[in-house]
Amino acid sequence: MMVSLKNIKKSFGSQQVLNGVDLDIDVGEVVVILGPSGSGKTTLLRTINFLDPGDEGSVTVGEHTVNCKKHTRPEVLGLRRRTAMVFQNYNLFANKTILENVMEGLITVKRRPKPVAEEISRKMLTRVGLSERFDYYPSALSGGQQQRAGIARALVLEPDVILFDEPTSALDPELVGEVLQTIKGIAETGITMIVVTHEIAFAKEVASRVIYMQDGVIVEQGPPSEILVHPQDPRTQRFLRRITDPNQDPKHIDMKQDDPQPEQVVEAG
Amino acid sequence: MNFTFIKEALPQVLAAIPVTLEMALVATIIGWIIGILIAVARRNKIPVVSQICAVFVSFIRGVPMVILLYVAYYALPMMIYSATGIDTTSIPAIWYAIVALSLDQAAYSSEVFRAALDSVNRGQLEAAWSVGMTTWQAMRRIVFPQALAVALPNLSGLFVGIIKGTSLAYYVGVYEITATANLLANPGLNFIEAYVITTVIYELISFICNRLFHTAETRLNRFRPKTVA
Repeated sequence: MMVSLKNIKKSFGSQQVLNGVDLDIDVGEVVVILGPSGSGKTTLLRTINFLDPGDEGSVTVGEHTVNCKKHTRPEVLGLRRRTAMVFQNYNLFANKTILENVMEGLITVKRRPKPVAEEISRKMLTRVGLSERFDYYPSALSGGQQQRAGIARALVLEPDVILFDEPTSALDPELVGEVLQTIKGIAETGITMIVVTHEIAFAKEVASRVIYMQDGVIVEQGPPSEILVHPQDPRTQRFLRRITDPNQDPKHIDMKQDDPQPEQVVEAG
Repeated sequence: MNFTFIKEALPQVLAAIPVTLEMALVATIIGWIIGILIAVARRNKIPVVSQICAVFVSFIRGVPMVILLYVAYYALPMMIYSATGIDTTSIPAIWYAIVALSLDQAAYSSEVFRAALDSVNRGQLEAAWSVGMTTWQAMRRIVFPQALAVALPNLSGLFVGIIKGTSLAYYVGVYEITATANLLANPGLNFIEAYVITTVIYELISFICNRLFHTAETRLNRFRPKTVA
């Protein structure tokens, strides 16, 4: 088991966001988490590296287990050094060039000598197609380029698992493809990934497992061929119908304001 | 205009520049360090400390600089003496002035630093955490450099302000530029000439400081997109 979440609960104020989530992820799995906004999927991702520590439960990455309720700073640091994250808004370090952004973790966290870090970083940036942009500051790059640099920054640390938090949601539509292509290429290398996204086509193609979340719980999970094609739970069905509706902006599906479940099956007996 | 006076007084007034600069520099260094600490404490809402800082900032900003100097020079030694029995009268006046100027700089700069730290989006801090950096590493390497770039124009104003503020140390008997000029002007009543000299000197120092800050600003802002000037 690469990642193991046990009974994760989290609330912001009086709002319960995660209602006891259990999740086990094997080495090399590409898990895609789907769900309407407010379903807790991003929060779940952020509890894994303690950017939003859970109120209850425990997080295990590799052999490293941290209790959500009672954790120390070194424990959290250990967890973060086994994971890496790609953010919706890239969050590149604005005062550093693309190359320095990728080198930063190698130098400060992994204590690699600068020339070594630089060489590894150049290779990684070349891999995500940014070999011409080493010395550019993030502000001089397109969103797609920034996100690919963000992916390189995460990948270069050789984490046990990479967490993608809606990596294409902030991108202009014409730039989404290049980033998804990059992520797909990484998925094929066998690294464990958890991806929160709204890109159904991407989930279908790349995911080894799809998880549907709503109201802070995992509603349904399984291989994409099942969940995306023959979802069992009416909530999943409704979500998929809406998200595939071309008139619907997938980022703003609010399931709570939905019409009273029209296709509710009346159980016999 | 008495040019012979100017010719004779100028070297002596120039000789007082180091006193002015020493006060300004030491007070700036102490004040800005305290200012950063206050800004961090208030941003992180550290209980009690944050409230004390808020009161301190608002209090110092509401007190005229001269009063602050008087308090530092006359009241502080008495308070120290009655509290600890230590006699501080042998400490030169310049250090009392530095205390007052430091407190002033701390209060004003803390607001500048607070706004500057707020201007760096939290996402970058989270990104630094996500790669496994400690908060201190993230602050030192990512947040502070960007905040400093934002703060510099205001800090430049504060620094030039304190250079001029040092002239108030005259009231507690520190012979910096203004006090020296006044002293020299007294016998022959050459006040106009003396003030012309001080004005020119303050202008020159301010001009040089502004240039230095501007250069630093340009360097620190390299990462920002080039805008049409």
